[in-house]
Amino acid sequence: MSGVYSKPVSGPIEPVAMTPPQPGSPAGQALSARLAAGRLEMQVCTACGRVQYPARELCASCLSTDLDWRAQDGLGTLIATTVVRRPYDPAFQSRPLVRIGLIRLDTEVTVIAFLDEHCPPPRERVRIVALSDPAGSDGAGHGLLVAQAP
Amino acid sequence: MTGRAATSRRRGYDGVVLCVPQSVAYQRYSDFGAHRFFGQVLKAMLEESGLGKDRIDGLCVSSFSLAPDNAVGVADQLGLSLTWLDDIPFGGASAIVALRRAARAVQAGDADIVACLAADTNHADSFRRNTASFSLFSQDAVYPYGSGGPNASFAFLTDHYMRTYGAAAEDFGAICIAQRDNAAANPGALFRTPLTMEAYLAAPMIADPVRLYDCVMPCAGAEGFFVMREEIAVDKGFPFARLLAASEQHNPFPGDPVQIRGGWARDGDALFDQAGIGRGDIDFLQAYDDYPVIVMLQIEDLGFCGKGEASAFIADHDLRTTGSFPLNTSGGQLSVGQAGAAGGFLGLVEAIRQLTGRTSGASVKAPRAGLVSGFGMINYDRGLCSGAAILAEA
Repeated sequence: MSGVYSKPVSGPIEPVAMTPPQPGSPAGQALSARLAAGRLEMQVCTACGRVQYPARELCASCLSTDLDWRAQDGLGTLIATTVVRRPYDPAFQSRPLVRIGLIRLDTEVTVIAFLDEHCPPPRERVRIVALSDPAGSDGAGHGLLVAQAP
Repeated sequence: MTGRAATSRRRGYDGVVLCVPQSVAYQRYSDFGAHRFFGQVLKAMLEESGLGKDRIDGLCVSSFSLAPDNAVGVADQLGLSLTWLDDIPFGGASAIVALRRAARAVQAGDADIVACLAADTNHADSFRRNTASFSLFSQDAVYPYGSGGPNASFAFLTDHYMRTYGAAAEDFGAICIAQRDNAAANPGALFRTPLTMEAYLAAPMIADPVRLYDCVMPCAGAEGFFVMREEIAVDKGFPFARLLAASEQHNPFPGDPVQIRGGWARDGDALFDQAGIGRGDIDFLQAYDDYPVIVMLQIEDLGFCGKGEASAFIADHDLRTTGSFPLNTSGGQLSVGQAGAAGGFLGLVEAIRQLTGRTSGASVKAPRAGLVSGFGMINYDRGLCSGAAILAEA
């Protein structure tokens, strides 16, 4: 891992390598590629309209496999936050601490995201955006979610 | 809403008993594999009971560190020939689920004596690797966000619980301190030195607001017990406990934005209905305690108090083994340690000990019935599996 994740608790979220090498599901990698391209998209079931996250291979509501990737506005409410002070992965242990949050989007999905320095406190409205991590799982780029002020 | 409460058609567990609870002393790390710990706990059970291996016709195992083997690999390594075999991979809910499976197998005559075993080793890097590869959703959408593992997941639950219900750090500390007191008499506990509130509050944050003593210590070890026909236990003179009721729920509340309850919230009343006793008849609670917040959810969801009232309940009760509401009487995972899937068995094995008058630590005064609950498998943002059982003296 070559990048340095600078000042994540108090400073800006930088588009640099943050994530450890990590396998992922095919659906997860498809989502990651979209996020890495700067596009906040999620799976939407064309049969029942449900938005879902994390990505999967079928609609968890109606079991249709007919899923579309559609742009999302990313608006939601921050539910809870933490600072991971004892990361398990060596990739995080050499970096400053990261602040993460649990966000309930208006589309009724719950996401985990990094919080940028201006992200409001829990109970407040936030917006998640796509962030490209240039290293990522296979060196080809890895997409992440970051929550910020709406 | 999906799911439903346990049906009133659920049959009782007449003629099935639990006996010969055994534990393998926990150790922080081991270079050995899980099979060794499975073998050690079964050996202790055979030695205590005097049963030969050939009398064991059923085996139910739980472990996070068996791969690439599964239950039949345990049968092979331990030299067991079986007519019934199961493998329960539900973490902290495994003991309750294993008990339910085994009890029905014995009741239906598919097996006479089922050894329910949980064992895990703990290599230097085991926990990180298990965290990194725990589930597809973990790989895709949790681990890349700081690799906080269960500490981070429970930090979210705890943070939200505190904001919603006004719980204070001291409330969680009270649970950790009482359980540490309970561990003092248990030679098998990794942590037996009394814990003060000052030390609890001064301990470093691990994942805010989760502090050091809110977290269990991963370790290696094993737990086990037999489920068998009552007439065998009577014939052999084994002290035993009865199973009055048991339930499990998986993914019970997928619509909740964040976890504020477990499956017990759906099953609590049905559990007591099946048992035929009330909450006032429960002499101890062995709750799943990988973090104190989940103990509070169990106290609430099982109906000992209302939602959000666990802080007041804890303040009003003495949680020590000799107290008014004995909780995790061997010290629980918070003091004994978490030997992987065996952590889910710790409370059930301790409950059998209490009800058969053969504790290794302090004893509840003349207990007649106890409740054991389990919880596990944070597949993404919440623990999906929960279970509970009510046990009674013979």
